[in-house]
Amino acid sequence: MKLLAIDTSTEACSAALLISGEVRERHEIAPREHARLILPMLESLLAEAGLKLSQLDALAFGCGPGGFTGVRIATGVIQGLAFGADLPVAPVSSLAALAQGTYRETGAQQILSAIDARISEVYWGAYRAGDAGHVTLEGDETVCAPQHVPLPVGADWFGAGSGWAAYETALQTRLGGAAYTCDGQRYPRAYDVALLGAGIYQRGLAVSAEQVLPVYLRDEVAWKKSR
Amino acid sequence: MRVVGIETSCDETGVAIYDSARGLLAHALHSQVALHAEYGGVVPELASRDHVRKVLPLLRQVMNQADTRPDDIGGVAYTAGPGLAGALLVGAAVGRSLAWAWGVPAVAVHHMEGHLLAPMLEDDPPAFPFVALLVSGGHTQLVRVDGVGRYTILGESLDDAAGEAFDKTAKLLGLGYPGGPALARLAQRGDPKRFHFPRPMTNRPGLDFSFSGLKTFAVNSLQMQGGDDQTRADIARAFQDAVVDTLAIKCRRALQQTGLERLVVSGGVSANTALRERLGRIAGEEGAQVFYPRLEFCTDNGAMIAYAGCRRVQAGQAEPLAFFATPRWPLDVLAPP
Amino acid sequence: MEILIPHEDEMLALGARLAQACGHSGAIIFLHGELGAGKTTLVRGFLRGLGHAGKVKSPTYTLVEPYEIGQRHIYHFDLYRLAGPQELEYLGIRDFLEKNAIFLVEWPERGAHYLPPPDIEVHIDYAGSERVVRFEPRTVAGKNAVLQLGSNP
Repeated sequence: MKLLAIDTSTEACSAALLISGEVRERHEIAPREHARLILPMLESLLAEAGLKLSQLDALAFGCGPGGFTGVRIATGVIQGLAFGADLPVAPVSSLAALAQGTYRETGAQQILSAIDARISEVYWGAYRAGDAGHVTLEGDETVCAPQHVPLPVGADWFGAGSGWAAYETALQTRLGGAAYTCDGQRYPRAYDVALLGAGIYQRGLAVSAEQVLPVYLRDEVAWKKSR
Repeated sequence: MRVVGIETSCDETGVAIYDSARGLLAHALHSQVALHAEYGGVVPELASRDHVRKVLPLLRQVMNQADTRPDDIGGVAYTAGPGLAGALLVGAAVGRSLAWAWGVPAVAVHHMEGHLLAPMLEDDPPAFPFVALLVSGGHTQLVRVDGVGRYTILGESLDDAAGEAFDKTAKLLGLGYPGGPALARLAQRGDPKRFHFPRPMTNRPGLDFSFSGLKTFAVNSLQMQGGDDQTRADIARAFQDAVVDTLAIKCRRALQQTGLERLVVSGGVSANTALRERLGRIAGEEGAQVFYPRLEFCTDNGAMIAYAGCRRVQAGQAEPLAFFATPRWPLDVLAPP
Repeated sequence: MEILIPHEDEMLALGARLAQACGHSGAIIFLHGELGAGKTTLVRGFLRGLGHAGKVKSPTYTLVEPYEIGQRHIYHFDLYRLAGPQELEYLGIRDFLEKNAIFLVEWPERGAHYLPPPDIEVHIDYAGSERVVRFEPRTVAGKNAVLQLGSNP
């Protein structure tokens, strides 16, 4: 199968092309440069492979949680491409992509993904390596203060993502030793969005262009109740 | 040539298809006004979130209405500024990638150029050159228009836009948001003689505006005279008379200064009946003709973006793949296509 | 530190000097003062001091006006319309909180505790037709900026 993936949910901006299990990737740490970078990245990947959009089977994108603007850039781009090229879309959690990349590169089996949500909060999800080499979510993804993250079951967890860079002490205190190490310099990457997206597509869970929407975890429905 | 236009600069999502040979084929609009009403003004993050939900459904709708297939499309235009950064980025992201997927040129359109060219969507469009008064919640500008992309700003508001002053004063009068139209209705039963508000910046040369001081007069009048129904109506009347008079004085001056004989009036405030009556009279006295886009194209819409985009695509303009939003984008830096 | 400001022109100049004093680092500046006290005028001077040439609009209507001057990002907030701090979400504030950004915040009490703590609090008070502008540093960086402002009239 052939699948094109993007992630712009954090300071990182990346695009990847998966062809029969092989992944090529473009990746940069480039805060606020996503709009400028993302389409040229896709173009160069396709040109390198000698492919056109219409020859792909599906698209995948990091649908959040993450920076609201970045997540919406990815959403808007994928909406336009999916509508224009009539392709199905696999939405992939940015926290899952972060965990998948950690598993892929370090071999860690249990990953606590944390993306800095600012205002003293993290986007949080606990992932375990599962069948077919894909990570799966334990419990729910959430956004909360680091001292309130849901406690994972068991020990030997690997902490990954900018949330660990920002709040390592608070998170370690909360977890009481459940995380044996962490890497705050990891970001969700399109490489892993492509891997997980392929799985979603193969399980028949891809959606149409109009159903491509961001996941904020901070919902305006909840905000309105406060007024 | 058919061009899709996408507008997401503020609190309306608009999508349209314009055909250079057949004119406007279809347009659809989703207004977010109700969404923002409870906050007394536009809320940026809520606006962006709504745009990203609405652009594709509206696009699908206009493609069906216009019986248009992707192969029929020759370009995609989207508003790239000025406006709310996050909201603009939604339209730019969808529009730019859609054009790439379709293999057609994309054009980043200046929102105010859209408004300036909106009367071109009508059956009896004004010929160039003309003077345009753009008067809305976000802008108050007098512009000399010599052609597509040939704009000279004659004057503009140094602080609040006229529509903003309407909304803020309406709020002071307890009329909710957006209160401009409600204020105009209230003004109808107001006594024009009871209060007199100043006509800011009319006693000196130049075509700039300043409306932020008028709400201070409204506050003072309310405090001194109390807030009974008739007083509120009288204040609304005095306020509206001051704004209308000021706009009219400057329009007359702009016509005299440029020697032009066509006046285009657009933007949300141009729906105001008192303003239309007044400008009609002035134009008559100056031997000029007034043009209004139809009411639904006086406010933000996709049709004007599709039109402006079509003119630019036809002239060979095309954006690179890197897209952008320009929250601040002076009109007079634009060039002809 | 207190400074007497007789005219709008001096308020603009003071804003420009404050911008200089903040140097190249980020800063969070709270602006207190009644309607019409001159908060937006100070901000206008600040932005011009950094080289912004265009108009500076009050953000009352849009809640936040972002500026990009060279590599710097400046956000001018007016939080008056917020019913509570949690409504800062509605501005997309999470996306603005980055290193080296400058925040100029009118009505900061509406965003209390959700906003990062200020480096400097500025109070603008009426004194007849003049204004008294008071600078209260709240962090080391804020103290340095105010010291520089005072030593460089």
